[in-house]
Amino acid sequence: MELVFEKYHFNIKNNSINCIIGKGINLELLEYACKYVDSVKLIIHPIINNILYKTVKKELSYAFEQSNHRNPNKIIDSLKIVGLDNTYLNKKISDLSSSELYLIRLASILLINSKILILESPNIYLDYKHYLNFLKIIRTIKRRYNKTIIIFSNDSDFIHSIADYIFVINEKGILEQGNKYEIFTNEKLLKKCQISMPKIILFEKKVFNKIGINIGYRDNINDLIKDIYTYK
Amino acid sequence: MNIVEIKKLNYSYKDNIVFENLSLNIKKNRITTILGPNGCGKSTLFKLIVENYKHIKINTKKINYISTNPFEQIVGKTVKDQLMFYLKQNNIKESTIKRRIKKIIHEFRIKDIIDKDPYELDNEQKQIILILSNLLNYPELLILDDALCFVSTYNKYKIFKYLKRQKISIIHFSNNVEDSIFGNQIVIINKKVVLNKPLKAALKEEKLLLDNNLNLPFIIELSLKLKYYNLLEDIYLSIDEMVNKIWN
Repeated sequence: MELVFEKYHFNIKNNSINCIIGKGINLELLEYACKYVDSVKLIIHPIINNILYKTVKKELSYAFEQSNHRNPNKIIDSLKIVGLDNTYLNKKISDLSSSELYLIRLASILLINSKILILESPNIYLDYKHYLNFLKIIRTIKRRYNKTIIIFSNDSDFIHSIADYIFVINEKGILEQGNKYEIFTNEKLLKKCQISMPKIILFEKKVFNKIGINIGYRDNINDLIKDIYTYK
Repeated sequence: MNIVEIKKLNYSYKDNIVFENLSLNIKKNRITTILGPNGCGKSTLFKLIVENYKHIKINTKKINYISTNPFEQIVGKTVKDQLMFYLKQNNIKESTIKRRIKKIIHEFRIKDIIDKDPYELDNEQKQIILILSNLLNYPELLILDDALCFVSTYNKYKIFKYLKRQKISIIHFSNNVEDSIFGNQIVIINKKVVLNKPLKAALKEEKLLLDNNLNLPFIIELSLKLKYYNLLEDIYLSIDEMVNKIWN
């Protein structure tokens, strides 16, 4: 599918996780533009609080009414998917911490059941436990519910751990696109866009520059350790 | 010397006990990172310090605060206005203002956004401008409530390098243990103070970090695992040092 916004034309594969990194897109304008597209629902970071009701139950019931679901159990299901239990239904929005608020918004977006989810910096309020859970949620809804996910973020390490495909943008348009190895090993590009290299790739690059050993690019520390052991 | 002293702080919100006998001294001229699991009361502690709540003693009058939401705090019509905001409030001489702003524009290469409306900037740029405008006021204590959450590692590195050259105490509330590597001291709170140690000693407390839903920074996780396989003897905070040590 094609997502066109101003001078940005994103060719996005269905059922994949796409990350957009770099400066140039005004997310408030993008959200406004998406309001009129049925298949898209933009979830902005919780600092722009667009929760409408005072309790979790009312907020989620509203999302349920907007959806094509019939079975009200879907409300509790949506809480379960984001790792919260049904005791949250009786909670007041004002009593929630920022991370809980974010998960409630994610639950309501899932309830609305749009094909495409757009998330902005979704990981920043989450501690490690919730972060790992969030990665699981995103992969699950991609696989099991066939969603297409678009994430705006400046966090290279986060993008490295989740992206199927990456777009690098600036004010002029899309500068580069590719998988995470193509993007994150392109030192020239990263420097030009002031993007930091994911730490695991940085380590591998430094080993190559200092010692001249090409240990290859690994996704996680355990694989990296095996390589270090082999090449030491 | 301590810049902030908290003695036996008790605080409840509705039926929930947020803090129970929390005591904490924060040393002057250091970057202290305060970490804790989601919902542990980081934002509450930030608010209580801002309000100068009882049992909290702050040993300076020159304090600036930045909360996590950049939208609430930007007041300038242009980036330049924003940078001058606190200076003008404190009746600093025009020539001094000019000199300080010129320096910071050069240091952070923000010349091309200086006349823009701050609302046109993205969240990362907004947070950077907010930090700079607060720093220009030369506070003795700067308290950040996750105020760098949109900033990339690349720019965080630049900001902290700059902060370390200033004579300033920083208290940085954060979710991400990676942020603590830029600082000197780590405090973990969860109802009370669970840990208060210098950076390297704190990062060796693997179990305590994980028990409080905190991640191990990449370089620490790698160090600990290499140590386990006898490929390293200690933990390292820089990749360069570590690579040199492994392949000495």
